[in-house]
Amino acid sequence: MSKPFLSKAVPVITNVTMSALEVRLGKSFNIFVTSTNQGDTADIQIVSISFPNLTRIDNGNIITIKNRNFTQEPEFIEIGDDTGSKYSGLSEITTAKYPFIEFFSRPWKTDTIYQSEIEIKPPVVGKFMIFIKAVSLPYNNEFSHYPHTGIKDHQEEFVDTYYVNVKN
Amino acid sequence: MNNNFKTFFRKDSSRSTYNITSTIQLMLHFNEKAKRNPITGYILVSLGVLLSASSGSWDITNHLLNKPETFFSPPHAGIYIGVAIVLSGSVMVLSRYYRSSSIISNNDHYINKLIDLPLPMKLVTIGVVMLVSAGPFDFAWHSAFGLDGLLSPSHSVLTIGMAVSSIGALLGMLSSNNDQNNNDDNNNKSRKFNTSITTNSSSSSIVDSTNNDDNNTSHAVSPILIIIGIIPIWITVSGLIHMASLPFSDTEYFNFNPDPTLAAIVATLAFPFIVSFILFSSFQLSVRSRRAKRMFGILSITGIVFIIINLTTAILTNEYLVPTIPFYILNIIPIVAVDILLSKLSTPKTKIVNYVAGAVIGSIFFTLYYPLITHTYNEVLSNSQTVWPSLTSSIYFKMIDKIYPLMVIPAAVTGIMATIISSKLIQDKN
Repeated sequence: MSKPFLSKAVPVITNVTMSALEVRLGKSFNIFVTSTNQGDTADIQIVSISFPNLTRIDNGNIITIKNRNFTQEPEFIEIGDDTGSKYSGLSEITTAKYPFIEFFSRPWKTDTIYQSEIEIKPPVVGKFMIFIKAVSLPYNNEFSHYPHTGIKDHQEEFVDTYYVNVKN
Repeated sequence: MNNNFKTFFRKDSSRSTYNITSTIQLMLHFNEKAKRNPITGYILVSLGVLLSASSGSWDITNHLLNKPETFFSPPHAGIYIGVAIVLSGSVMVLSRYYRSSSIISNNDHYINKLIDLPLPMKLVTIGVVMLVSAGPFDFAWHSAFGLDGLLSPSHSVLTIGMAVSSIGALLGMLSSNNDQNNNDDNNNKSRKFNTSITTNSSSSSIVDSTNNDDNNTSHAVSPILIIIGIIPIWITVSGLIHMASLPFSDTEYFNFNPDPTLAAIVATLAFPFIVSFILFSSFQLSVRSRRAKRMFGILSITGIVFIIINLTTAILTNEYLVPTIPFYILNIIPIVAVDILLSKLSTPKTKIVNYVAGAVIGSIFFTLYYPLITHTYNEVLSNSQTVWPSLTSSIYFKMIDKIYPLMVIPAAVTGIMATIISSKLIQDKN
């Protein structure tokens, strides 16, 4: 019998647009994230947006999802929640050290584009960090995640970093 | 074709199909025929259960793929339309019975009325009550505990209701068909009836009266009825076994997932039993009903219909499994081979042929219940991994070497036991 077909999805964050690079405390800014899959259809592809400066998502007050076209409801993960790590899905569990939102579609077909727009109102002055990454499951190789290099987050997975200066 | 079907579908000079110009007229026509013919209600019950149960299988695959769902998703629509058909069929059966029955007083308590019903009607009624009550129960469960898994109290009520009503429908079709034949005989004194299926309040059995003509098939139960009646039972009982063995029931509030080892044992024993029992029973019923010693075809068609349903609801709906369709269709070969074996060699005295048939049919369960069974046995593998839709076939084919050799003997033995029990239930009633 021929070898069964193995799906090899290639997630890519194609665009991240920030409405401002500097905001005053109490004001909000928007971040617009676009992602696609340049490989085979993924069973699941996740776009994760993390907020290492926050202690909670506080949906509606600090973070507001303005728009999204993902097929599934987003998941809000708070500090202390169990979450997967090392691109294992849920096989290797770790504890979330900061809050994040997982947008996902299942399946995520080839070249399909999904987007999300989030409004953020930083609660404190300083550098407001945002980590963004994309992972497809099942995980096959280094092309099953994006970015491929850089710094690693609390899940020991590579992320792209963005920040906004929050001033008084 | 069965006389009832002829009656139902023939062109009636007083009610020509050409004169039926609207849906309402067609429904009235249908209802009028149904009033005269109890078998129509039972057929509707079976077809409704078949649609509901098949849609349920499709819904499981849909959940595995996790496509977005709304209340009006196609699988859910199939389930609800099926329940509506079951309900209408049961209303036809019961209304006809109460109209024609002079025994039951209108003042009788409804419990007494239920107890007095013939067994097939009793089963259909109980099953339909369970089906209808499962809807609000499921809604309440969802409201209280959010999304439920495959095994939940409300889903259990629904599936058991489908199984009970489908068993009642099969018994009803068999008994109604023979009642109809007997009525025809009474109208034609020159012909001597040689078979009847009697049904009373406590039992339903196939009974032979004096039979001077073994080849007389004028009182035959239509093979179509056997297939229509037996397939829903197969699908719904398979659904119950899946509920007790698949690891799809771990939810936020409850974890109804069975212990993996216990689930594998349940699957290894229950699936071969039901496959063998259903297919062998279809052969037995066809032989008995046709008054022929050898009857080829019904077992094969029953098996092929099951394969087509699983192919349509569990394989074609997952694009990654489409390349494995030829593999799945190979299941037809042992089924047809067993049908040939039984039709050529089976006699009441050659039980060994039945045992061989049961062993072969029982041992094919592992391929017949592909792909869902992958999830059950993956749980007991030492190196188990997540069964993603795209990985299902590769995990399945890898586990054949490890799992199947361990299962083939118990599956064959269980398959043999199923033929013995089937023979007892069908033959010994004669």
